[in-house]
Amino acid sequence: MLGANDPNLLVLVSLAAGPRHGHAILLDVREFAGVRLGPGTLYGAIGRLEADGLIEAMPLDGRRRPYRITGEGRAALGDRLGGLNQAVQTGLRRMERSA
Amino acid sequence: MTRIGRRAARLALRLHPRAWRERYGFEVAGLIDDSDSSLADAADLARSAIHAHATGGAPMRFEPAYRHPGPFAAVAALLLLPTFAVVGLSLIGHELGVTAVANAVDPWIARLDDARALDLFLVLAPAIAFLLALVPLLDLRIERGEPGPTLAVRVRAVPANLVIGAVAILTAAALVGHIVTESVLRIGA
Repeated sequence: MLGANDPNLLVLVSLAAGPRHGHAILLDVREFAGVRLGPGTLYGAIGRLEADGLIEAMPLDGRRRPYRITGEGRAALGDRLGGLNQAVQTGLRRMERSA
Repeated sequence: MTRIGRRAARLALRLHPRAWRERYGFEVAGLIDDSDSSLADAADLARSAIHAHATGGAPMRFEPAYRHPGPFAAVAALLLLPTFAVVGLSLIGHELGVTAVANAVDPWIARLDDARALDLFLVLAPAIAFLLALVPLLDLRIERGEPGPTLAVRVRAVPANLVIGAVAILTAAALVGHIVTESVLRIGA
């Protein structure tokens, strides 16, 4: 609903806190959103975000490669969260009025 | 992750396009080893593989055939050899009228009626050899475009494989011709 469980959005929100590798992103998303991303879904999202220039890969750290959000990614995330927030606020106001 | 789940996930990882695996395979393999999940992850990876093939424009090749066309051509040639020999000698004996060859081959061909498995092998061998020779040459690609995705089929030229493929087709054609002729003659008799 409202795309709040969109893997792209969840990955961007996770990386907004700082660089993380795939496993850390999975654990973070599970904690803050209660959503368990599968490895294919996660790396599908990482691939799309990387191709769009919203995140970028960092040098390998052992067997793990961290990713970080780019300036463009931060702006896109802000726009998306702003849109979601507006929808949430509007919904809450209407719920209050109709109660 | 359970042992079965991990193996299934690794298998599903191999279904991804080669370019995808070269970029993310190492990381995903590490994730499979590190995370505590199940067969659901394998299903998720299989879905991701289909999506990557359908949208990524990445080539779909039959690995390891694409990387090793020579050995596949050699196996195809070995498989084709018995049928090629039987059909070739039979043609030389009967169509070209070389009686000595016909007399040598006919008893062996007559024995095939009693050896059904060998007979079936000789009939199927050209088709199997054709596939073994030509599959390594195929490079399929789903390309995005208007009005929708299209399947692009490219065939690369590897002389040995093309020759074996052509010989397999000719052998199969001669064999089918022989079977049809025999059937007509039997019905006529």
